[in-house]
Amino acid sequence: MSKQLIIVSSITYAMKSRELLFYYGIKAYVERLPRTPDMPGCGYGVYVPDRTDEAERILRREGIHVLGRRERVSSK
Amino acid sequence: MIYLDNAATTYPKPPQVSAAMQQAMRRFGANPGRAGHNMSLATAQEVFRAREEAAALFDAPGPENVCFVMNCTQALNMAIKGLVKPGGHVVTSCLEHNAVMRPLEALRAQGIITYTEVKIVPGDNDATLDAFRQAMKENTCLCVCTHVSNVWGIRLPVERITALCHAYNVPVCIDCAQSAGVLPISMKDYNFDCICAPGHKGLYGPMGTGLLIVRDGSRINTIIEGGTGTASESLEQPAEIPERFESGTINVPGIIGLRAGISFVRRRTVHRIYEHESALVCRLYDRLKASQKVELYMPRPQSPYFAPLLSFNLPGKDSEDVAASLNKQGFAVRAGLHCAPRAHAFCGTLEHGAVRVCPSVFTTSEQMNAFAQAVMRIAAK
Repeated sequence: MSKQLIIVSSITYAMKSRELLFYYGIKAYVERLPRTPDMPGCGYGVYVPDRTDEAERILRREGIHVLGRRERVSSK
Repeated sequence: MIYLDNAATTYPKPPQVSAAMQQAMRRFGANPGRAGHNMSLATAQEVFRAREEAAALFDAPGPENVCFVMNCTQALNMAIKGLVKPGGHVVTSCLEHNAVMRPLEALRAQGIITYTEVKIVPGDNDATLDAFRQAMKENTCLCVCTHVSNVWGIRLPVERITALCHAYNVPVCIDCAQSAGVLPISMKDYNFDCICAPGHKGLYGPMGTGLLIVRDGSRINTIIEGGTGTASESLEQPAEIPERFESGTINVPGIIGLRAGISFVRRRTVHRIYEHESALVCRLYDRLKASQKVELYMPRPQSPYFAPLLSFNLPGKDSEDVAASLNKQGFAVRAGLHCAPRAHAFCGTLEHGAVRVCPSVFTTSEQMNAFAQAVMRIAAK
């Protein structure tokens, strides 16, 4: 599996995403994003170890602004 | 002391508010939304829970619509200055607090806007609505008005005013300083564009907390920019709420205390709080009226036209002197102009002010009876 970190615009949206996904029975964890050349600033996302594609679809459907996906650097 | 100055700030607070704040100082001492360590995330989680609690009380679309600010005045400044357009016109009521009037007057003095104060007709919402309709102009860019007068308790039909303004495509900002926690307020049902509320009055939170609840934050320009913990590589203020309106470190202990206060209100229910306070104020009104020694400016303050607060004068006595005499007898009330000279001008009390009484959920009928007796003693002197 790859790119299990769904990037959103803020910690608030990360927490809202986690709540939404829990409602749909998908486990998700709020994490701070590691710095990368394409996203050098601060950011947050939700780590979704399973059903990540489905989770992203749900978030988009619920109006969450998904900024992208990323590989998770460290394991939980 | 019997505290009846709850329109200024509620006292006492529920014990769970101070308990929550103490716990916040011990356990949630990290900066939320700034780092990835456990305490920062745990603190952010508490703040998010507070957003959820406030969103539920005000029936906001989501927790992200809730922005934490210092107080209601800051929220009003952010909404008013963020929504007006140069050359635009603002409609407001004749009962506004200086938290609304001073920003409007400052904008007018700078040549940015003009504004119209609509004359309210207490007890006749059709007439009030008609006055708002007549005030609308082609360049009207905002309507900002109080939900409840902080001096007279007059309740404005903000739901109907909002529907009217939206028919003209004008956004509406509601000052809920005296109504939050006492009257039902639904952003989703009535599509208010901005709700501004203090945390420390009817929501029983600590001082230094306030709420700016916005339906669509992208329409509102910011008056404060800075660090938000997001997109730090960009020099542009983020567009997404709530961070757009929360630059700088937020008041975490205050917000956690506010959550406990809102939770208290929700468990008690706004309806029961209103019924309790309204019964107290109506009984006081009846006693003062029956004495024929007290100048009352409004009809009996009952639903649906009034919220539970009351202002009065004793003929021939200055309001400040009456409040000082009450203080000597152990009653805390506020006299003077209550930062609302326009509301006092409306009732002709600009020169002498008035004595304001406002109960809270903790006020008892025995306390109100004792207060009425104290007023009678002063009136008899």
